[in-house]
Amino acid sequence: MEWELLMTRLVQGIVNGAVYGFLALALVCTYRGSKALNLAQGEMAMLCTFVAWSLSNHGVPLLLAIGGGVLLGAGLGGVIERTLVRPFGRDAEYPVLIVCIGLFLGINALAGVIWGGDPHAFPALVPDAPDDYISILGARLRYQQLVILGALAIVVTALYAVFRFTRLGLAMRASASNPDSAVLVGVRVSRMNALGWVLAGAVGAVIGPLIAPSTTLSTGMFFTFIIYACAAATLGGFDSPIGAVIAGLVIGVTENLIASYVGFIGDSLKLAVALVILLIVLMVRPSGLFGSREVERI
Amino acid sequence: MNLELHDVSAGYGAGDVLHQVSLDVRSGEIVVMLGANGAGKTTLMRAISGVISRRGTILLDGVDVSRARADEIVRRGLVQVPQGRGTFVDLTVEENLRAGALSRRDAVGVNSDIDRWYETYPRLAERRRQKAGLLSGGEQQMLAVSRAMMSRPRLLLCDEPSLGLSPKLTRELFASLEAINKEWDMGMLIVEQNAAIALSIATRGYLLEVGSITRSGDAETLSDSDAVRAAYLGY
Repeated sequence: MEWELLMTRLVQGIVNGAVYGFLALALVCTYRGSKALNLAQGEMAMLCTFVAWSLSNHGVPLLLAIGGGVLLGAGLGGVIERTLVRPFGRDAEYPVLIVCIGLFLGINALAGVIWGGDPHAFPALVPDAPDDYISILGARLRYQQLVILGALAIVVTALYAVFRFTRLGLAMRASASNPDSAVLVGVRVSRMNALGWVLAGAVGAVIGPLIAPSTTLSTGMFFTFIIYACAAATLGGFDSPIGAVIAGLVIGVTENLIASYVGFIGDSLKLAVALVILLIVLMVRPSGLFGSREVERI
Repeated sequence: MNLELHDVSAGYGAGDVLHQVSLDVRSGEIVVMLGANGAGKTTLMRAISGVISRRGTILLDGVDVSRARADEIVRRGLVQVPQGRGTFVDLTVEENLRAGALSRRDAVGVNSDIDRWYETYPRLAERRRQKAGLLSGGEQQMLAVSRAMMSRPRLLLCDEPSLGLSPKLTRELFASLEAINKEWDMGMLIVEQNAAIALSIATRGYLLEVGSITRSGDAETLSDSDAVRAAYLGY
């Protein structure tokens, strides 16, 4: 019984962590190029989820509707970079942060006006009845949760492969590493930054429809996730996609285990646990667990 | 490849740093640009490379590139080795070289060029899997030059290549630049404060003072001129 509780908590932690990692991955994609923390990332994902929901309500098959949402997310990311981020130029972290806060409020209000404030049920991609699960050492892993983990694995692998093995990925890494030099080897750095936003928009729009069946679809569905995602991105070092995902999993598992075994914390203080972990790690390693430390010899 | 500047002015926001600079670099020759700190040498390099906006005419083999983007200028064969080397510190040595070749499409040629530069600079080959940020200053300068050469340029701009290098490494670097010039018939415009060594490999030179060219001539004439002697050669 004790064992089962541990496994259940562990599985729950991994699934939660996957969601944090997913969103953190999107944050890292924009941060690497534009050096901007896109606080509106969750709201963009929420908007895309609503659009996918509307499409599916109009008879579009769910998978296709989600695809539509992802395309919208990619386009939205590109348009936002072009119109609201790039005009501020480089080294404009604070103006862009304010833009992102504005987007957060704007998108949230827009979604509220269109779809209302009430939560809606969102259909699951796979059978999601109470007995649709597989057992892992006594813990239940629901099919829908399996889909989330699978999607994360696919997205991370794909991004890693692009960054590591393609010319485009090399160009993106070069412009994140040293934009001035990237320009001088012929890379169009502003395009690479825009591409970061496009990728982020798409990645965010993948996770929304996958968690919506359990969180329900509402304008506030990403409020806590974005905080966790910021924590995961920071813990992972902000410029490391793999780091963001691993950090998300670490936070998810730790907070679930602590919440279940440390009586006074329980579910209500879970978020605080995540932030305390973050604080401790950053005191020891300011560049996060996987961030590139400034290694430079002159 | 011939480079010609006619009345080029450039700056950053308030006021110009460069005032109507005219110069030329002929195919295969090494030209040195002398000047003190703040004379506008780096601004000149950035203007030629298309990184900052500039006025006037810049011709590459007769084609006006004064409005071209930086990546177009790289594709036309003019590449800069930036001041302070500007290596991608969190990419490996080999990735830096590949990044230098991003303007090229021939994967086979890129691989054989990488091997070539490893032969020229064996230290880079030993450290190919290391992050560039971990290299010493001299190694980073080798990497910066090789990275620029990876795009197969026809004209190389070098911004203060001796900066931060020991006298010995500086001599080695200039010997290596001279070798590249001979072997590839590569035109070079080298910005330097170390006038003695730069003039020793250059055919011609210019003197840039407060954003304007104040003197020009072949390397010997410049070495003999009192102004250059007093200010840059120290005798």
